[in-house]
Amino acid sequence: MRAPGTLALLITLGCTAGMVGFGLLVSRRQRNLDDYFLASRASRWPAIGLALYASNISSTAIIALAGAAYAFGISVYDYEWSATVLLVFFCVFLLPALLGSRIYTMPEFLERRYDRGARLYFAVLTLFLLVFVDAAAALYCGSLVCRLLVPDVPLWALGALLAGVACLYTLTGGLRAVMWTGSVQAVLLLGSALI
Amino acid sequence: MLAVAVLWAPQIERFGDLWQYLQAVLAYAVPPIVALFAAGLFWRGANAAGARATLRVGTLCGLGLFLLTTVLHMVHLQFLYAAPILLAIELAVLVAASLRWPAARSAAVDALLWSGADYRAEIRRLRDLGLFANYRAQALALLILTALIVAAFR
Repeated sequence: MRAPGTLALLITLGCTAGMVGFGLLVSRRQRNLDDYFLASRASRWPAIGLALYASNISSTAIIALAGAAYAFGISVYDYEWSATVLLVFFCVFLLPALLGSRIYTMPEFLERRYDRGARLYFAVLTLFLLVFVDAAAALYCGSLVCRLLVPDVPLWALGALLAGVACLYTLTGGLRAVMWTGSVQAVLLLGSALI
Repeated sequence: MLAVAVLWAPQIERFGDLWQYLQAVLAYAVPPIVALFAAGLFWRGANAAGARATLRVGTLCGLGLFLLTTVLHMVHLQFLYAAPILLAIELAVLVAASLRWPAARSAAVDALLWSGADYRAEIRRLRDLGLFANYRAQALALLILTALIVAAFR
């Protein structure tokens, strides 16, 4: 693989520093739990949408999906576009019934429909998937990209560094920091995808 | 938790393709929840005893199949086939166990079942909204957009 130039290194460092600084900046105004978890319930739809986009179609999807498409062709995209059909089906046919019975989360449904055990199972499964699928894959991706810049550092050390940075602004900033950094990342992702 | 993820991340390299890893793990882990959700929403008979049996059998089957196919490479099965096979097994277990240990009918469960009444009420509520505020119109636009993208890249 071609060695990345100094320019790429500078851009990456600049983006990272900017992101962390921005995350810390928006995280200064925190008073209570509502602020922390729900961003004071003051988020508007463009920020919500962009943050959802960035956390869903993240660097994981851009790297992994592009890699898979390079290997197998465009058919791997089926997995993503079929989600649209499924989500639309869910919103139109199932969601009104669930909202009507005042169910807001999946664990809530499982507990009321079956028992506490089902809810607990879901919680454990979610934690497991978050750790082994989402977090691990995101760190893996991030460290792959970083390795292009600094090939001599081992993969796990890069992963640990990325995890530390993400922790820093999520723990101090709560949802508002995640939303704002998410929105900025979405714009960066879309912009760089267009280039 | 995050420390575990940091330790686990380099292991993903062993699975080959990252995208396949993501989908494969989900295909083996999620079917029991799908069975509980779908049956719970549409079938009054599904109950807690059935759910317990489903989660036990589902976890064992999912884990076993994952080991056989992905870790030990003893069985050749694409993970896209694994998900519906597991779902079918778990639905069968849920129905069988619920019928074997039936529960008394309760109003709390009845309230959670899917009914056409909610759907019709939603139609009446949406009738008064403009086209752009109606999420069904937005959903239709999204489907058309998706179809166009798929057709363009086909």
